[in-house]
Order: sequence, then structure tokens, then C-alpha cells
Amino acid sequence: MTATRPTSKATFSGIHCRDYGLLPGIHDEMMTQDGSLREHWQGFVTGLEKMSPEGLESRLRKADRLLRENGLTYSIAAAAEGVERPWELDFVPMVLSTAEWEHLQTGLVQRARLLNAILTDLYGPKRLLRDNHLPAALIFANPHFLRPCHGMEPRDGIYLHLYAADLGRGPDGRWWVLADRTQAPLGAGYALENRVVMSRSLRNLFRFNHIHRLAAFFQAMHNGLMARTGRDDPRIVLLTPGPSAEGYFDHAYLARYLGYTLAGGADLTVRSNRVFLKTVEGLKPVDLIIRGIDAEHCDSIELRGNPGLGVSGLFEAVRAGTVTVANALGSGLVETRAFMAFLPKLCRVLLDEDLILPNTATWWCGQNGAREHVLKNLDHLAIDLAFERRPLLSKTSRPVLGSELAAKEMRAIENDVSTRGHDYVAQEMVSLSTTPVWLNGALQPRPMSVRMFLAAAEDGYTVMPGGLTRVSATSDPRAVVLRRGTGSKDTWVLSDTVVPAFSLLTSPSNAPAPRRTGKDIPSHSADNLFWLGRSAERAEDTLRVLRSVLRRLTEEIELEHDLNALEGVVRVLLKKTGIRPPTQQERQLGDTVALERQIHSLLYGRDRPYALLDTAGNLLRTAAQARDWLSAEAWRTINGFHMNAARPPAGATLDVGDSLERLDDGLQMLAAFSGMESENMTRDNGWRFLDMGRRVERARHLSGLMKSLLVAGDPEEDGSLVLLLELADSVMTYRWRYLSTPSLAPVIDLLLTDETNPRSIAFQINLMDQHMKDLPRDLILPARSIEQRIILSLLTDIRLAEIPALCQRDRRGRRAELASLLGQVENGMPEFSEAITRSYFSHTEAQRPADVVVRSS
Amino acid sequence: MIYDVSHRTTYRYSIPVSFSHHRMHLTPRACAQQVCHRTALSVSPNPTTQTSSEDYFGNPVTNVTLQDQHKELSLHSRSVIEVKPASPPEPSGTAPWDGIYQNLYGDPSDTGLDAIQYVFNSPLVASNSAYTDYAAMSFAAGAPVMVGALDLTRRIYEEFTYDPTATTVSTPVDEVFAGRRGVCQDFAHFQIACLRSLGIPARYVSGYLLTHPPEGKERLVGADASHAWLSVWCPGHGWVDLDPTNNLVVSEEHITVAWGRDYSDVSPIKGAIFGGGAHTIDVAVDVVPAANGSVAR
Repeated sequence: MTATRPTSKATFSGIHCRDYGLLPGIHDEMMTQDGSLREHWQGFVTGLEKMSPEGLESRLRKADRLLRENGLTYSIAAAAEGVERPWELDFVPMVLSTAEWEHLQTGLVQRARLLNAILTDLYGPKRLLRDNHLPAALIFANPHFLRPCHGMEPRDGIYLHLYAADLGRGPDGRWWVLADRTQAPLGAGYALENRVVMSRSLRNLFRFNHIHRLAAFFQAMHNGLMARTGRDDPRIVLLTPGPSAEGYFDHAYLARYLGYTLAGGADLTVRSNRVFLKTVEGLKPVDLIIRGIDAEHCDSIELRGNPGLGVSGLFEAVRAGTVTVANALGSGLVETRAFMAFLPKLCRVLLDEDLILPNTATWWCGQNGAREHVLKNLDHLAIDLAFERRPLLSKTSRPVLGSELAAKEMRAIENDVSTRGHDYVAQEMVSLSTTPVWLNGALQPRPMSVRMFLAAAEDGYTVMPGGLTRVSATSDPRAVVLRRGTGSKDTWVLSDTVVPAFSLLTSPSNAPAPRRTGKDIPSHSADNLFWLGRSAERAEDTLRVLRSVLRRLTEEIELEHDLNALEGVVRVLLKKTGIRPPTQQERQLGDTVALERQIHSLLYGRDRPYALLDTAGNLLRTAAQARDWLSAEAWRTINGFHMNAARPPAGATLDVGDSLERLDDGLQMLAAFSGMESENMTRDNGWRFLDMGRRVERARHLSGLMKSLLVAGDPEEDGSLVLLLELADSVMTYRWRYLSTPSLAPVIDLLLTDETNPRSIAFQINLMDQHMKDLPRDLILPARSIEQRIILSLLTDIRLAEIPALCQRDRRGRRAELASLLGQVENGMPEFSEAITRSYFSHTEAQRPADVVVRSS
Repeated sequence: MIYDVSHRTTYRYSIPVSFSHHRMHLTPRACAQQVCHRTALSVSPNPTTQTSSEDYFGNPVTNVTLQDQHKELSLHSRSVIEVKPASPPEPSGTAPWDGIYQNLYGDPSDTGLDAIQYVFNSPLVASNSAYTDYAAMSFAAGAPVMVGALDLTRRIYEEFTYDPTATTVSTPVDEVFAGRRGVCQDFAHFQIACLRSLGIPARYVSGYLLTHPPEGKERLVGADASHAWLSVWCPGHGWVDLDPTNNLVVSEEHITVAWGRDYSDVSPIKGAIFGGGAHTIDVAVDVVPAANGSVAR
């Protein structure tokens, strides 16, 4: 008999549930063993049955698209390379009844109080050790017991501002705690996003239930954090390891939703025992840090973590009481699985209560009795290192299952457990319950666990009425297998009373807003925005160049005459894009194969500068760095631009129609993005940096183009002027103004000196000057800053330039004055960029350790 | 003995440092064998903040921040310390080593808790079976712990070469073991690793040696800088200090500054600096018998 063979069939008529293959002896969330639907699933199943298969399919596609566009769990690097997102959201929710929820709620609140009490004791009087309730070895051998945290009693005695627990349900229907998350509990942002996506795309499914909304939880969490700062208008930041880290999406989503500033370690600094955020407006005091990194990395002066992630001096600031850290430093201690073995006893000792939610049975091998039990039962236990995170037995995933060990590995484990038992922990292998997932157009049971989230509100712990359900890819119900698992689900907690339906559809941007703490712009964000502006403009420039190349080379190459006339123009484009020009022979034969192959690779190839995909990937990466400053729409637009570029080509040979269409679509999306920039962003300093980046790039690009096309030769004859107007998106303006074929002087005026043309160089420089005036500056300095001087000098030179002189050729036929002015702009832009960087982005010099050389001898 | 101790560290930077944090274990602690009569830590230029407190292990620790630009930083600790002769137990009369961990495991007394915390892996010292095997040659079954510990100290002294070029401050213990070379810090870490591999608590001690020995005695190795040795737990007696670099039981010529699980708990100066470019560090340690108990100027 295989594990997946159904023992009973659904006895109700539901089309989606007909072949629902219950696992023998395993609790199923939706169905009882005799095949009848559990009552609290009735609403969901009804909603599902009422949808047509086509309707459902189209809604699922929408959900999928929303997820992709939001970039859930995307690692940015993977996204830029076009890799699919690894984490699937299954639209079938996990449904919890009111009664069950209330039981879990009570149990989880008790558990949070208990873990908090344990931390309070262990970082303080250590009564639990003195009274022999906990073996000292469990604490002192534990690398997560952080000695510098001893005596750092947090405000209001709260160590765990946030707490998450992974829960599973055993075959008898009872809930078990599989793991505690106390270090930097992750996932609340994912849970929220799953709900938002579900309610946007599948609102019909929500109609037949009263489902608790999540917003109130976040509001309570926010109020709790506010209260812990003891200030009326606190500045709260979320400290993240950065975009390449696993939890970054969660951090960015939460920070945006709650209106906190997302900061990396380098954005913060400690001065006079107070933590400050480095912003373009200077240093701003920080009152509370939500810690998204392990405490071990928080302060390289006190602990040996990665100094790039944390803030040196943070511990002293916490000791001085000037800042609150949530969760408190040291909280990771009780995440150690070995603690579970002691929780029932500690609950009675510390709270004088019985532990409501049982743990997975756990044996810490530092104890004689437990060690003997484990040694006798190794083959049906899961074994793991008690403290360290390195792999065990060079297996890639942990824990290891006794039953899967080879005889030799088994002996190695037995030996280690006997000699250094305190380093090992063993747990019972729990069989998890199954819950339906949507597979090949029908519901199928899969093992699941739920992560639930708690926050310390103003008056005690509150539990999120929902959670992050994870399901296994296989039907193997063992909990440890799920840990290696895959998909996620929205989690519904049913309410007996009506919850207004609209609340489910509330999106983060218009949720009843927790109070905003003000938009500070960390220096590194300003830097990222500046580069986003540059990247977006560069992408636009690149696409225009590609489109012009494509048009000219594919439509006009066969005409020998035109090609010769276009020679100069084409050469400029070819030089820019790195394409090999057609040989004399190819040209005479009208052979365009080699050329088309090159263009094909430029449009669809990878790892080639100026290639479409490369440009799009670059923009996506830059945007990801500034993700928390972009609206959902803006992010989606850039993501869409990347997807458009990453779409596979129509065929192996060049399809001009498809290619042009793709470039047109791309330019349209970029235009949409720049439209959002100018229409939807508030005119704060963040916007100013973004816009300056765009201006810098546009001025640099256009001055380079004009230099290559206008300085020598006869631009009126060889098509350069038309091309230039095309590349500068000023064809219509010119036609409207002059109603004639382009001639040199008016083109130079329009593109270089005309301050009313938003595409001209003068316009860019003028705007930069405006931005400089609006940006905060140190007013003590009487003189203009370097960046202001660069801009002022360029602006003056452009304003004083005379068009006839610019058009004038010297003895060698060059327009020397034009060349010189354009050269100034071309060189001035990188200088300006550097000056800005020095003034605004890097009042943050790199930090380094100072203790390397001093040692004892 | 009463000593005047001076420990001056000077950093010179090629580019000005705009801002720095330092955490220092430079003030000698008081303990059973040692009385600290006077002590002062001066920082130049003047720090913006300076806080003194006790760390987890009861060592004095000072945190400073400098927020004004500087190209040179001097940290100068001066103390008058009285060291009393140690009274180590008669080795053959000490408890058998092999019952130490089991007895400590169930002992929640202050003494027991103080001892057991030094038996486990720490950031720089992790036990392993190679150390167990090496140490076992000094510890016969049921042997008195001090007999084994002294023999281990002697073997390290004889089998390891003192060689400041062989290791750096971050060389792991297993490399020290493989090359049989290093300096006091390496030897202390290695002996601690051996003892812990047998379940015997051992802690790292950072301090100084008398710079110029009394007439007729040889100058000890490590006297011109800060020195390091270890303490081994001896049930019924307490901590006994051993110096594997000089093969001796510590008595009156070692001045204790701080102790912890390993170097990382008590490194004399830890810091983070911003800017600074290349830098040089100059360390000068001077320990002289006090003429009349006043701080030498």
C-alpha cells in the first residue's frame, strides 16, 4: 500500500473535491476521515464551486501576475537573470475555525509571556540556574547566550516585541509547536502580501465567510512599539541586511506598510551614545530599531559578527537607554530548540500555569537520561546540533533523520552524542496534518505547518488572526521534511461576527494608516535614487539608439545610395552599440545576414553591454535598491519593462516587426515610469535626487551624441540632424516650430541652448541648478559648493554661447567652439556626480576594525 | 609586591580619522591575589564620551568615542597594583580530573556556576578529539587534575616554539597546534582547548609581566608587551594560574588585567574607526616595582 492511496472518497458532490486522496491515519484540515467536509471549510468550498473553471483560471493568472509584479520572494539577482520565483502562493487558503483559533491564541500568548520571562531571568538574576530548573550547560554552551546583553534590561521588561511560532497538527488533531522564532521573526510581511494578493484577485472566495482582517494586528504592533519608545513622535527604523538577504522583501514590505525607514547598518551611526540615521538632511536621532539582523552582527565592538551589517556602539547606546531594540538584543537565545525540552516545567515555575500548547517531544543530550533515551531510539528520531548552524555530517539540510543514516554515519553520531552530548538535540518525528492545495485543476491534500505572529501591544501580547501557512511539495507528512519545503498560503481565521467585507480588500497604501513617522531619506537611499534616475534615463537612451539602428539598418540598408549618405550616422550608432559594420563585399551584395545576427544578439542576448536585456536587468537591480521609495505601480512598471525585455525572441532570425514592437513597448513603459516620477512623487529630497540623476544622464548622453554627429562633416546633408532629433525625442517639437527640414543652427538651439525644451542640455543644467538650491546644505559654509560651481559655470557658458559661433567651422572643418562647449558638459556631468556623492551620499566613510594589530605576546 | 604599571598604545593615521569607537580592557581588575591601589586611563585627544563599567566577567571596561578629527590617538593606562603570592595546592593532593564535569553539571552553587561556564566552546576555542588525544597523554585515568595540568603546561613549553612571526592575532588554534608555534596568546588558547576537551574548565587571562626581573633571575618572555596565560579549575581549591609560555605556576610576577573565555572576551582594545587610511600602532608596556607605592610619572 503506498502512502498516497486514498482510503475514502469525498462523499459530497463538489467537483473539485471528488478525488481528494486522504492519507491514512493523518488528520486532514478540510475533511474528516469518513470523507465529509468540515464545517468551517463550507464557505470556501461554496465559493470555489460557484466559480467557473475559466473564471478561476483567469483569476489565478491575475494572482500570479500580482505576485510577480510585487516581486515576492524574488532574490533580485535571480530576477535580473530571469529566474522564476521559487515560492509559489497556492490560492487555496488554510482555514481555521473560531474555536480553534481562540485555543491557539491563548496558548501562543502564554508561550510569548513564558519565553519573555525566561529571557528576563537568564539575562538577569539567573534564578533558573541557581534553583536548578535549567542546566547551566544549556546556557553557557549556547553561542546565542550573548554575555554583553547581561543586565541590559529592556524598557518595560519586554525582550520579545515580536514573536513567531511554527505550528503543526498531529494525527490526533492536537496542535504542536514545532519551532519558536525569537531572534528576528520573519514572515509577517509575506503573510500580509499573500492576503492582499488573494483579496485582490479572488475576492469571490471571500464572500461566504467572515474572515478576520490583518490590519488591526499591525496597528496594535505599531502602537506597542510606539509605547516602548516613551516618546510622542518617535523615529522608528527597520534594520535590514540588505536586498540580497533572504528576508529583504519581508522587511521592505513591512517598513513600507508601517511607514518606517528601512535602513542598513551603514545608514546608522552612534554619536554620544545615541543612534542616528544618516540622512541627506544630516543626522536624525533614532528611538527604536526593529532588528532584522541577528544580534550577533549588531555591534562589532561587543561581538564578533559581520561588522558591515551592524552599528558599532549600539550596545552602549542601548545601555544608556537612548534607543530601544526590538527584539531586544540577546532574544535569539530561546530560539534554541533544546529549550523546548524544559518549557513545560519552566511554565509552571515562572508563570505557575500549565503549558497550553505542547512542543514537539525534544531531548537535549546534555542530560544523562535524555542522552540515553536518544542513543536507544536514534533510528526514529530527528537529530540536530543543539546550537550551531553549521551542517551536520556534511548533509545539506538539517536535521538528519536517524532512519536515513548509513551505519557508519550512525556510529559517528552515536560517538559524538556520547562524548559531547550538550551539542546535540533530538526530536520526535511528527506527522503533520494535510490541507488542500490546488494541483492540476483539483484539490489535493498536502502536509502543512502554520507560522503565527505575535506582537507586544500596549497591554500584552496580541496574535495576528492569520498567518503564513507553508505546504510541502510531496505528500510525506513528516515535519522535518516540510522544513525543506516549498509553497505558501493565505491563512483565514473565521469570525462568528461580521467583518466588513471591504477590509479584506484594503491595500497597504490606503489602509487605516498607522501614524507616519516622517519620511527621512537615508543617504544611501538618496544615492540609490540618484542612480535609479540615471539608470532609467540610460535605459531610455539605449532603447532609442537601438530603435534607430534597427530602423536604419533593416529598412534602408539595401539602398546603396542611402547607406552611403547615412554612413556617418550609422557609424556613430555602431560605435555606441559595438556592432561590426558591414564589409564592402556584404554591402555590395546587399548581404545583411551578419548584421542581422548582431542586432539579434543585441536585442535578445545576455551579458553584452548595450544589449536590451542587460539594460533592463541593470534598471531592475537599481530599482530594487530603491524599492522602498517606489510606489507599487512604479515598481510594477519597471518589473514589466524587464519582463518585456526578457521575453524569448519570436525566432532564431531577426524579426524586425517584433523587435521594433518590443522596443516601442519598452519605451512606452519607461515613459510611464517617468510620468509617475513627475506626477506621483512628492517633491521631497528623494525625488530631487532621482530627478537630478535623470538630468545628469540626459545631459551627458546628448552632449556625447551632438559631439559625434555635429562637430565635423555636413550634418544637414548626411541625415545626422534627423537622427539627433529622433534620439533626443524632439522631432515633433522641431517640426511644429520650423515646418521645414532640419538645419544646423535651429537644431543646436533647440537641443543645446533652449531652456524651454525639456530635452535640451540647457534645460537639464538649469533644473540641476534649481535642485541644488532646494537641497539642504550646511549653511555655515559661505561659498558655493563644488557641485553648485560646476553647474553654475556650465549654465553661464551655455547662456553666453552664440549660435553662429557654434556653427562656425575652423580651418580643419571642425566646429571647435561647439566641440569645446559640449566637451565641458560631457566632462562636467561625471564631476558633478562625484561632487554630489561626496556631499550627500558618503558622509559615511567605510568603517573598519581597529584591533587587528594589538595582541598579547 | 607592589608595581607601577604603564601601558600606552598610540595609533597614528595617515589620513585624519573623523570618528571612532573603542572598547578597552586596560584597567587591572581586583581579585583575591591582587589589590588595585590606584588606576587611571587617559585618552588623548579628549574623547567625546567615556564610560567605565564592568563586563560580564567582572572586568573593568571602558568605552570611548572620539568625534573630533584626529590623526593620532593615545590610550594610556597607569596603575599601582599590589600582587600577593599565590598559594597553589599541592598537585598530588588535587581532585581526580575525570569527575570534574559530572560534579559541576548538577552543582547550582555560585562557585559551580562560575566554573562550568568556562568548560564549553567559546568564539576562538573549540574542543575536538585531536586535543583530547594530545591532552590525554598528561592525564591518566583518575590522575589529580593539577598533576595533569602541570605536565600539559610543561609539554606545551617544550614542544612548541615561541615565534611571533608564525601566527597573527586571528590564527585559529588548530593551526597553532599543527605548526607547534606561536606566542603566549596561542599557547594559552591551545592549553585551554586541551583542558576543555577533557571537560576541565579553563579560562583565559590577560595581563602583564614584570619588565626587568630582580637581579639573578632571567627576564620572562612576553615582558615588553601585554601577556596572556590561563587559569585551570581545581575543585576544592579554585582557579590556579598557569603560564605555558614560561612553564610556570603564576605567582607574584604576573599582573592580571582581565579574564574571560578567550582573547575575544578581553582583547585590550577593540574599536571601529571611520577614515584613517593606513595606520601604525605603537605599544609600550612598563612594569616596575614601585619605589614607594606612588604612580610613576
